[in-house]
Amino acid sequence: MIAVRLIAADLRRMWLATIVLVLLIAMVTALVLALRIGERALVQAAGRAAERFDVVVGAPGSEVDLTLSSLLLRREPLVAMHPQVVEQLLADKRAISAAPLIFGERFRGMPIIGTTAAFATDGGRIKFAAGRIFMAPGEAIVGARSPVGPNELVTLSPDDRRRGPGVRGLNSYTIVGRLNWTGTPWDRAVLVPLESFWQREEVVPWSADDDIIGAAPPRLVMTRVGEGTTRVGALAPPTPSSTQPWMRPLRHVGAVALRARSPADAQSLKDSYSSDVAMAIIPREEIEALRGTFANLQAALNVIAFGGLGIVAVAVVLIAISHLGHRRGQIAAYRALGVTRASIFGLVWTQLFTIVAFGLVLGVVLGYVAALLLGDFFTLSTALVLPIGVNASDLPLLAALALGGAVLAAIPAWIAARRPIVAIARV
Amino acid sequence: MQALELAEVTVSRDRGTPELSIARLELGCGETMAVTGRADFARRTFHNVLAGLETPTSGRVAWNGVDIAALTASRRDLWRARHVGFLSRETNLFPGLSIVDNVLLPAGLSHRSGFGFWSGSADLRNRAIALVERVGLAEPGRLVDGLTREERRRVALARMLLRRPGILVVDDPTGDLGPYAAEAIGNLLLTLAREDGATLVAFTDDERLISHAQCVVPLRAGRVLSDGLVEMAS
Repeated sequence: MIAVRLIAADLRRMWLATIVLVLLIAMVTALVLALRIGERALVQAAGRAAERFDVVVGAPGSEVDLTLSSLLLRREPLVAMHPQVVEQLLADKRAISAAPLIFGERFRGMPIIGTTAAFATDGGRIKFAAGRIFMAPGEAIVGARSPVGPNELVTLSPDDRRRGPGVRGLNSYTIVGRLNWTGTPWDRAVLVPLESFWQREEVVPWSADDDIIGAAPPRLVMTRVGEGTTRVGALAPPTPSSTQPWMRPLRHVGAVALRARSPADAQSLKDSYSSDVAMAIIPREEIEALRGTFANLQAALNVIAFGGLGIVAVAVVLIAISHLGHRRGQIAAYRALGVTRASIFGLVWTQLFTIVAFGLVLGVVLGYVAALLLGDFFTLSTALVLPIGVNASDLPLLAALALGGAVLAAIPAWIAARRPIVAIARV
Repeated sequence: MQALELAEVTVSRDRGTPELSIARLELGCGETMAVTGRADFARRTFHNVLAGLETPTSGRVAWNGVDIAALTASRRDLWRARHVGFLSRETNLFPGLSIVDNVLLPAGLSHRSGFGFWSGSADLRNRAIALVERVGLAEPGRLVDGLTREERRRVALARMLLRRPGILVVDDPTGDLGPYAAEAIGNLLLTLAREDGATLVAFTDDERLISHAQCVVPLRAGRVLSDGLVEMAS
């Protein structure tokens, strides 16, 4: 084991260079790994958030805003949908369920979302950790990560009111239930009945008659745009039926989340509601697009990271060669005393690869920690919990880095081993 | 049989005048040869050729009947490892390692010890410790970093002798030492070489070492000036 003692002694003597090299390798490895882990976790988390609905329909505008608002509950101002589009969606047979979403104000940074009881529990899939579903305006349920819990009274302060462009609803809500953890931004949401936004002055005993707001707006027409495909079209002139009162005002609805009967229905719904009066997205497609965007971004960052890796590789080789210059006397002496080129190669390679290996291991740890911190930061701002972790799919990358390190270490080792003894120094 | 035989040895660089030219030189087993003269390129080349570090342009360099000039580089490495011990002014001890580890290092890096990644033999280690004590150093486990020049020379002496080489090639082993240290190292070298029955070739101008040599080879400008065993290069 004398070689191990020799390597340890040499690493101790050149401790500063060793630490610098290990840190350089670790930082570049961490950067490469953190990017990879972060991108994968973000796409997985967004995919999980998108599982809640097959199609989201909103008013015409930005698809990105609609995606961010519905998936991440970001504070993107959404134009209210035409009530008749909402009505039509609620009645659409291609959807198993349709839930209007009203993006309200924020209470201590938590979005207040008006929706149906069925959507709040994702059709009963999300169980209650405590309490029950809301049953009337003025009641609310919260997600698992909410700082408030059942039986607490949530009252919006003037500060809450000033922030955010959300639809103004009731002033206060009584929390009646807390949902289980889902790892999505809905964990930090305050979910209230839609009626809370249609009855915003005071919390008063609720009756369905309160929703009657008068005459219906002009009706829309469904136009045929292809084989079996219809599309929500231009406004039609008011019809006599439009003078009938509406039982649901369906005002302020920012989006309608739908579960389609089949993927074909989802696509059909998207086609039908992509027009000049509505905009539809399939969140999974948006996630795919997001993945594409991330891939491009990651490719650009990888160029930077691998460029850094190349610079570090050159630095490692140069420092190693420089250090071998200081050790050439010893190398010459050992070669003269019969130590073979293979031994010299093995010694130098092992020493350098030890540095590389330490750098890689530290890099994996740092990369993981960095990804965790980034994930936490992202979770804090979006409540989207990123499944950060190193898994088997990262092994090829780590193996490639280790192989690169092995090849890198072989360069100075080869130079040291091949140099003729008489050319090195006095024995 | 002679321990060392040199015949028609020349070393030329760039097709010019030979840097080294020795017509014939012989040395008996267990004898001591002193090569004197200025420490120039020629002397260094002669040293390297004798030790198998460098091959001559022409001629034969045979140690115990083996023409080392005819060996391949890797076989010469093995031959050197088995038969030759070196000592020079530059001890090239490895800092941060103990005295005994420095003594063990070249032998410990051989393929028999898994290039140093396996545990070396206990016998070798015991011999290393015994040699360290024999050369007058009391603490085998002490780091070499704080040793004096003389102590470092003693460590290098023990390192040279570890594998009981039959040929010892020493280059100015006492030149940079004070008189007392030079005498101590010189005596130790001669005593240990005699105890092991090794053939000693000393490149030196130290009169004490020269006075003990059975053969003195005065080298000037790459040519041997005079010796009963040696022919002048033409």
